[in-house]
Amino acid sequence: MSTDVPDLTEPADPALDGLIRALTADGTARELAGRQAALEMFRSSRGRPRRHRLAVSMSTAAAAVVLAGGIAAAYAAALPAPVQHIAYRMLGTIGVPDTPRSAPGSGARSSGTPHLAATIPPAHRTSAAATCPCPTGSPGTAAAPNLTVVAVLTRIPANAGDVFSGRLASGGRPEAGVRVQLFEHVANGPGWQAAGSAVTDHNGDVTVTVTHLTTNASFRLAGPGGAVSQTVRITVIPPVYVAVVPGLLARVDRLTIWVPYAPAGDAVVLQELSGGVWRRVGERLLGQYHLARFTVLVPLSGHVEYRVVLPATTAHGWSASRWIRVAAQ
Amino acid sequence: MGTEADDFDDVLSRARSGDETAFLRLWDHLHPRLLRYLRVLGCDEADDVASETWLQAVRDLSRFDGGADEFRGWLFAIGRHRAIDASRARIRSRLRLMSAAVAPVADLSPVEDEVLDGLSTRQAVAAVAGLSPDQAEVVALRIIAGLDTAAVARMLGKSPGAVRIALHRGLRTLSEDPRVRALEEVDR
Repeated sequence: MSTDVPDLTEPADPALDGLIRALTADGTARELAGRQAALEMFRSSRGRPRRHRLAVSMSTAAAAVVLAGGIAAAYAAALPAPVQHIAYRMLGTIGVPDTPRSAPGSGARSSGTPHLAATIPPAHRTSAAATCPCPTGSPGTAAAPNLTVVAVLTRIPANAGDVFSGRLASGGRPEAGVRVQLFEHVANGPGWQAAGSAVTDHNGDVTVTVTHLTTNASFRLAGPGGAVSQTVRITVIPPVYVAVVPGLLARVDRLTIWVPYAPAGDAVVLQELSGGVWRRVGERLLGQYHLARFTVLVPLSGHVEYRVVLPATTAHGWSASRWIRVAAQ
Repeated sequence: MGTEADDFDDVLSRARSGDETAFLRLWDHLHPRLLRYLRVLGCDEADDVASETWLQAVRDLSRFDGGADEFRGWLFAIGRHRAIDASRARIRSRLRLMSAAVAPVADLSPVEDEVLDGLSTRQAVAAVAGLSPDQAEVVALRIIAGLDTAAVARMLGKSPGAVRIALHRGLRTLSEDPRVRALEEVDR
């Protein structure tokens, strides 16, 4: 994909030939240094990646699930309202009993006929989630089905995925062939949302993979009979990219910071390594393109080590850039 | 056998569909030229401006409708606007005003940049940047960006004839520049 120069009809001149070759030469190492950052930008700019969940039934789940209850246990007592309604929809086809909608948080047990919620308006989900007394996930009685879940990683790089493994059991025996739903509550998000599902294998084990996590989130599994797992919180660590650009002034360098998975307005902190301790130098807020800039002095001799820290927020975890060495020229 | 333009069109089409490999081919091909163009414009924040250019281009890529030549023109037009924005911001900064009179950025790069970069490319960019602003931009858009005369004329709001004259004069000046003549003797 070399560049041609369309309709350039200037007379041939060896000097100009050399000039054109130089101007259109392939990129140098420095010019291409931002390749990985550009790729990350491309990924993140393709819109918020649509998560596709891969549900796999496996027999090696890390979590032990103790099912100690009967089918009579009500979802209503165990699930947030939106989760409950989604569970009705998802599990109704396998004959799970339903509960009246007024049941969440009330402790009422289901005794009604199956109820399928065909659709759940987002507004309803949001308001319900905001007010619902979310369950602890611990089984309330010895008779209740038990479901537990663990995540392979609880801190993951932004845009990476995670694997959730659970086990469903009843009376100490695994429940096979049962569809289990994974729900997520994204930090600052509207409430619990369906994130994937899978069917338990002969050991009652189930694994659900979630990809493209870009914001902190909580996850839990829900199964029939009111089974709900404990909550697993996943912290997302955004990468902090730093480019050093020589400034116009001879002793000034500019650090351009790019944190693609942190929202505009988040603070980034420049730190300097001094006496083996990182000391704060300054702070900037990420702008429209998730960019921020610092200007640093180039030392007359020796070098200074810097790094840029992204403090934790509710949306992401703490992160830091690589070390940046600014050396005397 | 397809032409390079066909190849570029295909790569562009795949990039628009989200193909990361195709996007990297576009980026590898055009990013260095975008940086050189911005440096010819005297943009002292060429890396930043180029990054913002790509951010905007990628964000709007799904809405872009055109072939390889149109994409090239579109990308460099975005870069030009962003450079102008950066220049305006610089003017508002007293520090920028002070620094603007110091020296062109190409003369201030550290030694390791000279080693990492193609020395002749940097010299060539510096030589083009030394032309009058009109000639420099025409030469950059025609040679570095690879735009045709009509596209350059549209971008700059000039007639095609004016673009040809500026190009001719710019190249004539460059052909007499001892730095350009020395390019043949420099290893990249």
